Amino acid sequence: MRLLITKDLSIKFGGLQAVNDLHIEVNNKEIVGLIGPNGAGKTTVFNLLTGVYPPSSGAMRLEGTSIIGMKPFEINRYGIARTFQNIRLFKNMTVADNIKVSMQQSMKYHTLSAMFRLPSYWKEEHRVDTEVRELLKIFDMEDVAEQIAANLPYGLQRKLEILRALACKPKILLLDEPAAGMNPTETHVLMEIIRSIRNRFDVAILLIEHDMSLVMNICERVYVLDYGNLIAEGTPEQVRSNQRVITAYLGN
Amino acid sequence: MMGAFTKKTGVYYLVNAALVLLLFFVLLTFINNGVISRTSTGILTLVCINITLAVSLNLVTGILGQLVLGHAGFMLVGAYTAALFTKNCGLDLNIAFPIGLVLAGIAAALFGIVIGIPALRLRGDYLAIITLGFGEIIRVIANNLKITNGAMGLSDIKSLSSLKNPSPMFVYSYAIAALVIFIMFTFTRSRHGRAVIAIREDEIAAEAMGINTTYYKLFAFVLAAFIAGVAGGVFAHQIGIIDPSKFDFGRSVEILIMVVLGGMGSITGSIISATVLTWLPEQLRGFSQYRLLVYSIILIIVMLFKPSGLLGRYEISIPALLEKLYRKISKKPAQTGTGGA
Repeated sequence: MRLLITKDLSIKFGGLQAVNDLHIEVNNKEIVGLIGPNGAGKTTVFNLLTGVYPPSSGAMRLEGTSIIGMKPFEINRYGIARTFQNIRLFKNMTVADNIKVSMQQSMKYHTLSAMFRLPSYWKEEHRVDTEVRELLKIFDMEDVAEQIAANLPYGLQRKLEILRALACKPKILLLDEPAAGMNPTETHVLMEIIRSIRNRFDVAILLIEHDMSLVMNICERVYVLDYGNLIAEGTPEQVRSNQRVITAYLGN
Repeated sequence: MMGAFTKKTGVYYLVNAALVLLLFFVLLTFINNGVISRTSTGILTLVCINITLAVSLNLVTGILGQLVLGHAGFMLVGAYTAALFTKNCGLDLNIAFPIGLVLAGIAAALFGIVIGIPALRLRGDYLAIITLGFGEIIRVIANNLKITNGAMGLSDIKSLSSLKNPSPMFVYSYAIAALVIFIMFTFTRSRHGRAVIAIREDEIAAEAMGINTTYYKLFAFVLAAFIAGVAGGVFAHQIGIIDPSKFDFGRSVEILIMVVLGGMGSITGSIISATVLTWLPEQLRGFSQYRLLVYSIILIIVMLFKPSGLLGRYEISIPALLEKLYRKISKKPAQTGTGGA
């Protein structure tokens, strides 16, 4: 079943057509790659999908409902969560609190119960505590739960960002260069984690990545962008042998 | 600290509550016996009022991370609202005063909403300047309205304290300060507080994680305005005479300095610096020409050696200190993890 569809999605920054008539589809539980040379407009697509920029024209639908005009936090609650290319953690908060920020929409207790520590506060905070521990277990990070996020090594920060996005319980997860700055071994571990996340949380994943071994290994379908235009789509094998893709990356 | 309630946090709560009550009854006894003079009682009351103000500004400046330079404006609204109410309502002061304080808070909060909606679209320096402007606007309006009696201000605002009974104003200000501190601690350790802190850390990421940033920014701003209004109400009845010049830009800066000196984001830091910065100038009154000099030198020294403020973002926990002390005496190995509050 189709989860996310964009049609004729375009955005202009002044005279620059950053994304032009983009059609992409992501199905339930699918891992889809979005690749392209530097400056192709990949991150702009993520910013459009999450409501950071309003598109100049076109349509975006999640499960058939248009998400155009929604604010970023509304889109997030509707089911799209993302990570950032340059890590954007809540640096001075603990690892556990970083994840709890994402879970705040699942908690319902009132400001007054918070201020006077009424039973509903304790009940929901207990539940969330347990959920945070379970999430941290996926990445073997239980022992750093109480550390300040800024003090984590780079690899763990990337993982924490993925966990924080997962904690929003999204239908589709957007990963912006999850393997950036990782060595081949770490990338390999990350691949396994992305697969297991998909299976465990029944979530579709759309990822931007420059590491081709990762893209070719785990993506079921790949979209290729160049100068804001979609130049190819298909399975990794089809894309790999596509002449336009080779030209875009290597030149004539 | 994880949010879960453990036996340890329970004990911490009890110890803190006991300490707050103990300090209260010790001070109260001394005031009623005349050990603490009427002047000193007045200073103690001002200390409590300033703690309330500093902690409320810390919510916006330290915890939400938005620089606000118009806090005295909300104090002014609260002070005039409470004073006008108790002067004109015809009720007994013992009943009128608490009602007046609630009204003061509500009035200041309404101003907070009106100012916050346009102002919180801006950030950093821009927000600082716009709040400075609004603070001045409020003062100038109070300076020109008939109901506020213009630049003459309001005088003869009755105090609850009297020669026979010197303590009620202190009781009120102490109780309000204690309640505000408690609420700040519990608020910052809740889902709402985490949302506010997340906005300070990274507004874009917070919004991408489903936080309604506009709502929480306004909420923190209005809550701080409410508390400042209540503190203004107590202030008016403590000093008896108010006029707009008491709530000028200098006043806003004074509160801001308490927050910055104590450490932005540290509530215990604000308590300590508000206490010292209220008490110290009074003690230096004797050599008044050096008063401001000493005051500024202290500020410069702290900013040079500890730019994040005395406590940075840390909180002091007396129960945790007691526990450490107890462990040292009984030579037990320390357990990991310390509690807040």
